[in-house]
Amino acid sequence: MRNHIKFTTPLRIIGSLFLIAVSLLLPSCATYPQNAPIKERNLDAGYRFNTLKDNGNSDSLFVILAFSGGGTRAAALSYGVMEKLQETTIEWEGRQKSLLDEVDVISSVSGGSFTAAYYGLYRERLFDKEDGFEKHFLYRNIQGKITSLLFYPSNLIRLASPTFGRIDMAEEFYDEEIFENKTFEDLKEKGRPFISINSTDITTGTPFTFIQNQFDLICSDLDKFKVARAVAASSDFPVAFPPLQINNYADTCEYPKPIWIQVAEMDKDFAANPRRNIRARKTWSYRDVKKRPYIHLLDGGLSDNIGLSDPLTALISNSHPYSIPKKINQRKIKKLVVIIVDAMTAPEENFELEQSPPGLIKVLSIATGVPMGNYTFSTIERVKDQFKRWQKDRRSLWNNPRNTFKHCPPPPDKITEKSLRPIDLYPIYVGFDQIADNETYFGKGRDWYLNIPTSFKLPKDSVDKLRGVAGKILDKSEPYSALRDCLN
Amino acid sequence: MEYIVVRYPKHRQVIIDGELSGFTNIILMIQNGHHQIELDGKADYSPSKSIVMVKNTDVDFPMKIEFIPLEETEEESDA
Repeated sequence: MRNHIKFTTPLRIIGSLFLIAVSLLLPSCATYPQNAPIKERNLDAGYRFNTLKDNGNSDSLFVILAFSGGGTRAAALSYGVMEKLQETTIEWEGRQKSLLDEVDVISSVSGGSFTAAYYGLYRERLFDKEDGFEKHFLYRNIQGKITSLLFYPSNLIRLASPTFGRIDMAEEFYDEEIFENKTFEDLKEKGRPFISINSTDITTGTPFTFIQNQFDLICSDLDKFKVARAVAASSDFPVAFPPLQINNYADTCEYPKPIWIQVAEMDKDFAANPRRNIRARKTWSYRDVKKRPYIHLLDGGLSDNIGLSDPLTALISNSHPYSIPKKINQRKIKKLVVIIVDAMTAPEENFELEQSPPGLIKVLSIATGVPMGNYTFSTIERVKDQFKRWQKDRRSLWNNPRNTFKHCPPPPDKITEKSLRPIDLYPIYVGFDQIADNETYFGKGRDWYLNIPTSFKLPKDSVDKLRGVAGKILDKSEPYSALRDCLN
Repeated sequence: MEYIVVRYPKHRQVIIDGELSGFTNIILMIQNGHHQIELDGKADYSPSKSIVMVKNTDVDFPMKIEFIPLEETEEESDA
């Protein structure tokens, strides 16, 4: 017995020392997954709109979906819209299909990015009751699971590392349990729709979109990047999680300054286009690897909580991966549909009933939520203005034969239809404020929907109602009804 | 949104800011601000490119940007 004690004590000491050493070393080993560098840009490869196979999805009926943030509430509302689009049968250019088959782009932030990425990777499996989105995300207590992971001894050690944060741990969970280790190469193989997952670059305060065009600027290969990491960045809510890092390798590949940036640099004054000038400067800032060797990202909702910023740029810019003016100029689009799925709420506050000011958590919530709400409103207004302008121009084009340019000397020799083709526009908005005062859906009125909390855990009944109400709001949307009638 | 027409005697593709963006002699949509306009294909036109500031146009009154064909060289004419 004594011998045994003598034998085991040194072992215990060695074992304890080993554990201490491992504990000390592990945090220094734990780091976030490094994005891969590239030596050369290849414009014909990578996750770009132009490199995706179209899957029989036409440009002529161009459908853009924008999914907002709002945790599981947003994921459920966008899922409900997807269900509705899937069951909407259309006939387009002689082929019968679902309206969902004609979706070309899904732009998303935060909670909406889970739905968008899941559909991008798994398509019809999104709706699979046994092995789809409902099981793997929608009806799960994601928040509770991530919280419990914080207390695993191995995670406690890893989280002591300065380069491994709670967001990296959450990403691992999303990767293993929801997105099954899939990368953007897997997403690319699926073809259209183009899934545009947006986070916020906290240095520039602008959207950082996970597409190869963005990764070209930092000389990195998006194909090898985990979809889960993009979704984690997109839903990286401040304070709850630290920012997520990616490396900038901008000095490892050639990237001549694009012409659109060169000319936009002339657009400084108000007579020109200062907005484009700012976009150009912020875009080009990624090339300065000495100033920006690491890019820090937070929730996409901080710069645009409705996922509309990137589509809005596409609607007005000639220099965008899926520029709409360019497609209209090339006569590719006949009908343009933009469906905005906005899970924004307006919770009733009662702190004004108190003389004492609201507490720190409430103030933090207001500080992040109010700017998000204001930006959402102004982005929707800008899209509406753009559509109004196009509607006006469309009437002008349609009614005015002068635009055939018969007078334009000398006449073109091949084009028979000389005018810009007028397109039909369908701006569709799905938000809880579309529920009228006296309306109830599934036994609940507008205020109930406007008070659903932002969380990655909602009761099953709430998720069911959100899925259902999405279809109901779509049904009562005039542009949606017009589109459906027109395509049937 | 602004509008331009790129005039040229033949049907050519128009390059706006380095990207193919429509055709000659047809109204084209363009974002307001500065742009570099060129024609696709052979550099047999003048000027070789045009940098313009587009603003205050209308679909009924687009900005007109004109390119003209270069004279054929003697060698080409002989051939």
